[in-house]
Amino acid sequence: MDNGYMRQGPLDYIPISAELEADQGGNDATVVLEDRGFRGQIVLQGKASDAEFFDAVSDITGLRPSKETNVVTGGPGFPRLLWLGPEEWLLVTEDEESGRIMLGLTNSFKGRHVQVVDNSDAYAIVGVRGASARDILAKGCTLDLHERVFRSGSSTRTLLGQVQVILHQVTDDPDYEIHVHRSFAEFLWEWLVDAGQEYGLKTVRP
Amino acid sequence: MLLIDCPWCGPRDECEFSYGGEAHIKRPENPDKLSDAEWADYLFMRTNPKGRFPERWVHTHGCNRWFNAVRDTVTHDISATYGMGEDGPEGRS
Ligand SMILES: [Zn+2]
Repeated sequence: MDNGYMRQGPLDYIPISAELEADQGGNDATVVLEDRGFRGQIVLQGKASDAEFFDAVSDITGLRPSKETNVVTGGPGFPRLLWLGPEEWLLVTEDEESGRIMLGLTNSFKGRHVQVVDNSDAYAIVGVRGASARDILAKGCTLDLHERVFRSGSSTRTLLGQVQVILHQVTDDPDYEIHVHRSFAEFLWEWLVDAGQEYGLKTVRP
Repeated sequence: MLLIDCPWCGPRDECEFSYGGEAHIKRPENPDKLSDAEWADYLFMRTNPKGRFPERWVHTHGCNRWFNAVRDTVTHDISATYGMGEDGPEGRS
């Protein structure tokens, strides 16, 4: 954003030590914790039986909402459409695209029984990637994270460290993205730093 | 901890769910025709069986949907889960 005011991310004020900043890429770490910054995050709700809803979302975003449990459409690029429930999805876009897409959706659904809510600034996005990422999440998440069950292209709401999150496995590496309410972001970040200590977790900014 | 089989998400940990009390309680068609005792019965009185009990749950930290479950109040065994508005194995009682 470049419109003259300071836009503050939910994790901007968390101190990242000089030692870790020296190794920005975190290439030798088995797990890296990353503030993934600003993105468009739009919640969509529409009836499973409403074919026009699926067509319109598909026309505007290029992605058809999944009817299959935990299945993401799109990704690892943008936009991505994360399954949250049988009639609820989270559309994740690049920051600069969200306004245009939001407008397209709102216009298209005018007067119809569909919910479109821009939640972009309500959630922080935390990335956890690397060989130990799964083990760290498993410390505070009751989901079966084994790749037979929850794999790249899977998404769901769940609890992590007792905090409600939207969990998305983006790639096989594995690379996870955690969408967390911004008021819980600092707690969850600290929780992950603590959980990752034994694995030599590193923290980086994008 | 219980594993509860959400009709949409599959088996998930109990801590993701919230409890909603007895299932299949129907709001009376004409509340103003009821006596206070009948209205109070609808509002407050619940069966409290020892054994299989149809009840409502919501997958709060998951798909956010309400559903019904038949749980044994003695063993906590959940023998069925099914959607709102559907008849369970115990019927609508
Ligand atoms: Zn569910």
